[in-house]
Amino acid sequence: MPDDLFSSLFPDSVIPDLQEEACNGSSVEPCGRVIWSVSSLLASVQDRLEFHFDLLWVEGEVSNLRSPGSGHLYFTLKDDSSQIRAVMFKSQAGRLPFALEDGQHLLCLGRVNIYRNRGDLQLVVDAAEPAGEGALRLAFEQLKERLAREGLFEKSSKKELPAFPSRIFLITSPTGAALHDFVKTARMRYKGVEIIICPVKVQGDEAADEIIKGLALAEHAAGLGDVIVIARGGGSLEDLWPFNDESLARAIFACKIPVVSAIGHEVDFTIADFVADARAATPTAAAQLVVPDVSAYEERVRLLESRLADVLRQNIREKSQRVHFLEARLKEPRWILAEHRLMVDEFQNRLAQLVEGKRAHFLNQLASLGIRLASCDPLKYLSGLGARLELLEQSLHTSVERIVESKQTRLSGLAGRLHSLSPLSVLSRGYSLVYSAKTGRIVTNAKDVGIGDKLKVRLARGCLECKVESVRKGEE
Amino acid sequence: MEKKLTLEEAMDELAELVRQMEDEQLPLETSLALFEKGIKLSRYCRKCLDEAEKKIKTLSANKDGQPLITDLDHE
Repeated sequence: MPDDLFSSLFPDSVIPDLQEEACNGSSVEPCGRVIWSVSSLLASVQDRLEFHFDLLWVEGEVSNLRSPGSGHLYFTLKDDSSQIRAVMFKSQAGRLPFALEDGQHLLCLGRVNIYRNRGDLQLVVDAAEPAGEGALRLAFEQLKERLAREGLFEKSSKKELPAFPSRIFLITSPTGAALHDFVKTARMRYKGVEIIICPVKVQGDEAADEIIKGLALAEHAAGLGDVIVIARGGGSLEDLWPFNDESLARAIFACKIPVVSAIGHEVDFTIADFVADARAATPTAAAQLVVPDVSAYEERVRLLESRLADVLRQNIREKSQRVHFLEARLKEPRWILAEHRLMVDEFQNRLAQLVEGKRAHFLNQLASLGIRLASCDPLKYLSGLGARLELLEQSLHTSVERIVESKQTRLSGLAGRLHSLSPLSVLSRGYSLVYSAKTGRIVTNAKDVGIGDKLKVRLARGCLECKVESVRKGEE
Repeated sequence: MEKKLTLEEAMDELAELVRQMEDEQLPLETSLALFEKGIKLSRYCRKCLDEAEKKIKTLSANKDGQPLITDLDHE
């Protein structure tokens, strides 16, 4: 550090006289040379270092990090061209909110001193944080990861927002732009929703606690159908830092009323945003999310109303049309008659067709019967019969003639034979026939005749009537 | 209306009622009754929508730590 800068920073301090101080821990030779012992030199440098460099911040990159059993942290802090040894003792190292790593860009608060055993210059670090915004960013990332692991950001545990909230508890700064933006947008959308402002600090060390208290109060006052909005306008990461508070995150998670976060601008994400039931990019967006746009609802009611009326009119129209129709039909029985007449006509036609069909069928049958009948003409039959009869007669004649002829032939033969056999011819030879006058039978046995019986005796010529005088039975 | 409906409920009921009237062939008497009910519902919806502007209030804790809601004086 140049002297002029040093003196401007510490105007009251006096630059000590090196020459003078050197005398305390060194000897001056007679020739005027000042000889330092190593210890006194280092002690002197140490004094000066302490005097010139009190507690200071040094920025650099961590390398050669070692952590022996003692629990102290040893590392080298370096930049593009230089490096310095650094040590962080166990008690301080334990308070570090994050873990040191090689390559980390670090901002260290500490003192410079000399490690006398080796004469090394070293930085004794009291506290350290990642350089730039990195510190907050790292703490943010680490908290976010931890809460995510615990399930605080789970979608399943997020509550649904009421479609039409009865009351909105707005936790925000009473003077901020967020309040103005939110209320303005909310009023534009629906004036009937009650907005209850819960004024809190949204920046600084007390902000997180105030917001947690405000949240508890709002949760206590709120009921079913209400919603809580935590809002803050844009700002730097540091400005938004209270919304990365772990206790606040847990309070939001535990809150029974749905919580909407609206912190910063679109690009800003805080832990509160992750844990809230819904995140709005800005306070204005939160109002749009939470407060229904009443004009859409008005439109819907208007539409439903007109449909309601339309549908009733339609129903009435249909009914009256039906009545008209029925009336008209009632007045015109002739239509029914005409209809029936048409039906009758049709039936007649069909009947006529049927009859016609049947008739044709019968005519056909008749014709075929006629043909068949003609083929059975009795005259023809008769003439046939006559011819046959004639034939039969003829054959009858011829056969009769033949029969007569044969019979005559046979007769003459038989007559000849008969003649030869006639008993009468026997009689002519002197024999006679005796008949019983009583029975008329020929008597061949004397036993058959009694005395006094009359007998008839036939001779070849004429008959005798005799009376039996005696009977001799036996042969002769 | 017996119980207090939310606007959402009233609007859904109205929509269902209109659908019923549109879809079904209702006797005139029934559809008149439904119409009357529908008009009541739509009036109720309108009333909800036209509800007078609500005041903006502030929430604070009273001395017992209980929430206290008061009208915002300024604005």
